[in-house]
Amino acid sequence: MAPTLSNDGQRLFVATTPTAVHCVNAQTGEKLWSIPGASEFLSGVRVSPDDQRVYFIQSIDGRLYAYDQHHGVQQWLTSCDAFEEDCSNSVRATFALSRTGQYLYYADVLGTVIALTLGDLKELDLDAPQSPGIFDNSGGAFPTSSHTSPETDVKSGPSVGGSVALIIIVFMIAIGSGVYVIILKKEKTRVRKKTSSHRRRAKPEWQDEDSDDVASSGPDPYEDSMISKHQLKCIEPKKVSSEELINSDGAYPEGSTPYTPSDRPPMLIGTSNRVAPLTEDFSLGAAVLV
Amino acid sequence: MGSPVIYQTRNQQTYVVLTHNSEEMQANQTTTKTGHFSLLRAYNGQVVWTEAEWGRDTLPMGYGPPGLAPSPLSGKYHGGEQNQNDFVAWANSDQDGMRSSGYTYAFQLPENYLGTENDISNLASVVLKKVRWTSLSRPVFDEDGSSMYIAGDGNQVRGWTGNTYFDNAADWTLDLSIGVDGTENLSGTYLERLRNACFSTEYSPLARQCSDSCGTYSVQ
Repeated sequence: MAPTLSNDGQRLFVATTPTAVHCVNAQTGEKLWSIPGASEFLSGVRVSPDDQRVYFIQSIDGRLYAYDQHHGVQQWLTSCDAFEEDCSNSVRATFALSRTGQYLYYADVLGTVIALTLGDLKELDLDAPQSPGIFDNSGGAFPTSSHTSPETDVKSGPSVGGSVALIIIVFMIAIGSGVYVIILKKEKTRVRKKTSSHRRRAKPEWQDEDSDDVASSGPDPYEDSMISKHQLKCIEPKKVSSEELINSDGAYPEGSTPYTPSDRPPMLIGTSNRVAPLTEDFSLGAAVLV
Repeated sequence: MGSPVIYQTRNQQTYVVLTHNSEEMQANQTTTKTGHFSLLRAYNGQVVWTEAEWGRDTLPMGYGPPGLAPSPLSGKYHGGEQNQNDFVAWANSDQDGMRSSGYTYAFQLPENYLGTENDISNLASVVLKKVRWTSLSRPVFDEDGSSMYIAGDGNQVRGWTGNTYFDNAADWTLDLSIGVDGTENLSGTYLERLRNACFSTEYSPLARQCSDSCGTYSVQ
């Protein structure tokens, strides 16, 4: 299986036989950490766009693992028995990770395609006034609600002053929501800048014009709230603390709040009907042989 | 091996390149695998150019899948300097990676390639280096095509980094042979190593089940 290079070119991930996944310093060839497995990892290895997580699937039973790239610490694992009653299907085809790192797709040997969204989901209070902020201080991905209502004694009954205050509140909520939407759109359309020495690669005709997404900003919290949830049976994910992330290799600017969407355990989006046995390459944009 | 990759030139011409193998019958009724490298037009699949391994002065072994470095800073091999067309590399692959020696190859359309008849007639892949290994996997490159990594047989990985040209010896080689228990111990059968990797002490040769805290799975 071809090795996988981290986006910053610093770490190389290799799945070998006997069964193990290794992390190697790409510059020196020094082995950083190794994870033994119970079977081969024929599907290869994928790295999250924020260079914090690495994913691989154990071929014999389709267990999906997420590990911290820098420390080799398991974050979570999941298997198909979380959402299928009879599940012992092996996975041999390569799997795909979306460019934002939000979605992961793989297929088992019987031809069932499984789509997962990566990350946990907080309850979004849709009734609460929304502030323009996207990230809260705990590193989560949802806007904090800021109550902007003035202190008004509603028990005294409606009055001119109360009506005016109510109008002001509604007006501010509308402005805040509009700003929030604008910020979300800007986050979606921001593209990663390349150095001037690189020729901009022409986009193939088939590529979606709107798919210039942001690899570093992570999943869209608004979209997260619309995706259905499925409970997973396996271990709770280990969360890497903010301090560990900042001190790992300076991946985040000092003083900023790191956001690691890859920390979150996966949730099932859906599964397909079985199409055909899939044992070869499976990737986004590639045709699936039926 | 297949696994086509999309190839683009600086002047926005788009092709598909792939390696594929055929079985060649020998005089002694045995077959030997022969590698082919092909360049196809992306919009209609027309084969622009193809090259067979048996055209070389070496014993054909078959090709592994190609790896592509898009828009490299330059072709990092002697003769490819300042060429910023997409760069493709692959290695020999034979007998499921059991050969003890092979070659690494590369292909890059010339800088001033326009697709004319004369241009096509002068196309050729290059032999990067004779090596003591083969590979079933595609080479991997960094973002600007200045570093290349190849996983070869024997659980070895090689890296060409920094200023090292790809037709020179690799900067580093790492042997990743390791047992499932995290050591270099590769003794025992696969099933024995599988059992040792499980947490349960119950092991039925018939049922072949391992269990752990996250549920059960079966060994087929």
